[in-house]
Amino acid sequence: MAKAEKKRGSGEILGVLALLFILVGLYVALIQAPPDAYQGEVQRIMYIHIPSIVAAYLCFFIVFLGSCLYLWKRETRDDILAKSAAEVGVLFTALTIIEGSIWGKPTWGVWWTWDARLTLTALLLMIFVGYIMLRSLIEDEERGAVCGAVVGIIGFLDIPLIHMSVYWWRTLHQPPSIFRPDKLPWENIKWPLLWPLIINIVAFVFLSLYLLSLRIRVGETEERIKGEMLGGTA
Amino acid sequence: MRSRRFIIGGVIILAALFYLIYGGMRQAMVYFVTPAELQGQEAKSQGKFLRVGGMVVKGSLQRDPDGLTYRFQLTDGSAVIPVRFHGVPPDLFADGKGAVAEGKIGADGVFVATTIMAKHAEEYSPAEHGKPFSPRSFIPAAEEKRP
Repeated sequence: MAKAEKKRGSGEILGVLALLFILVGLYVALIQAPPDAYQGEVQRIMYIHIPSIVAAYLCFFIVFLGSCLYLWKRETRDDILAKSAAEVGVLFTALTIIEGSIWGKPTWGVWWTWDARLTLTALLLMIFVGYIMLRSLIEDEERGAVCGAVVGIIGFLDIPLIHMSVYWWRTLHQPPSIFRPDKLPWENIKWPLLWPLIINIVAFVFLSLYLLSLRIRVGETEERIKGEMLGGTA
Repeated sequence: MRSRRFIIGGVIILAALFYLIYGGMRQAMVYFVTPAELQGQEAKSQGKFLRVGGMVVKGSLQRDPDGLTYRFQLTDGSAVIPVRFHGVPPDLFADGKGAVAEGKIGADGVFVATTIMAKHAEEYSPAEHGKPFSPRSFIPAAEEKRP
């Protein structure tokens, strides 16, 4: 019981940190940061668009880790981790696509276009929506966990494809501003716009980890109730 | 019986998914052609739906008196293609900037665009400094190096 309390406490710290960073992040993104020289005010969507996809990538990386661990050691704990992270990841991927659409309409002129990066991101969302469906369809817990782990690992492999898509193929989407080997972040995004972005990335990372901790607690509670019910009928 | 139905269903869904991905990616891989690739192919490509990407040739952008018809030239540095567009282009569409036009080549060799998309760089800076558009980000660097 003490362990559960401690766990809940660390989850709540994540929540408080997320709230703090989101409040500061909103202020610096909407008020403090200057508008972009080329795009003007609409460029501020960047302050949620990039953080959302960073949070989504982080979640799917956790799915990847949890899935690998589960296939190796077959511990329910790792499966709960993977399953929970997949759900939070879907949330942030959907947010990224919605924010990207709202940004795309005034700048590119279209809500959506089938270029490689957008197509592969839509595919990422479909894979993990499929993952969630698969998990609820397969009644056998262990089989569900194994199938889920395989889909989770394969699904994660889409992320390097998404990242490299703007280098490998011609796209409407511009190349990465931050995560690239050939240029430093502040060469692409000048400091007055970069540090508000960093604060928002940190905020979204905390937010996604907080949501993940809540979802894991639900998963653990489910598992405990199942255990008690089985114990009761035996 | 139940598991067989499950497998058949799964295979159908997977096949549909792969078909969609294949169809989508085949289009997405060559998202746009360059004016140089179109050069000499105008007659062959006539009436086919195409995307052409390039920079709007500086000084070529003209607006007809109706306010809705735009005439300009797209270039990739080596070839030029004339484009006509009737509609409202995006805010970032301008002389000397990157653009992708969707449409068909007409009988007169002019590309008739139904959609204009503006392509922007991955660079952001405070408004007071002003900033030139970077054509570097327009075509993947790997491709630029090819002869």
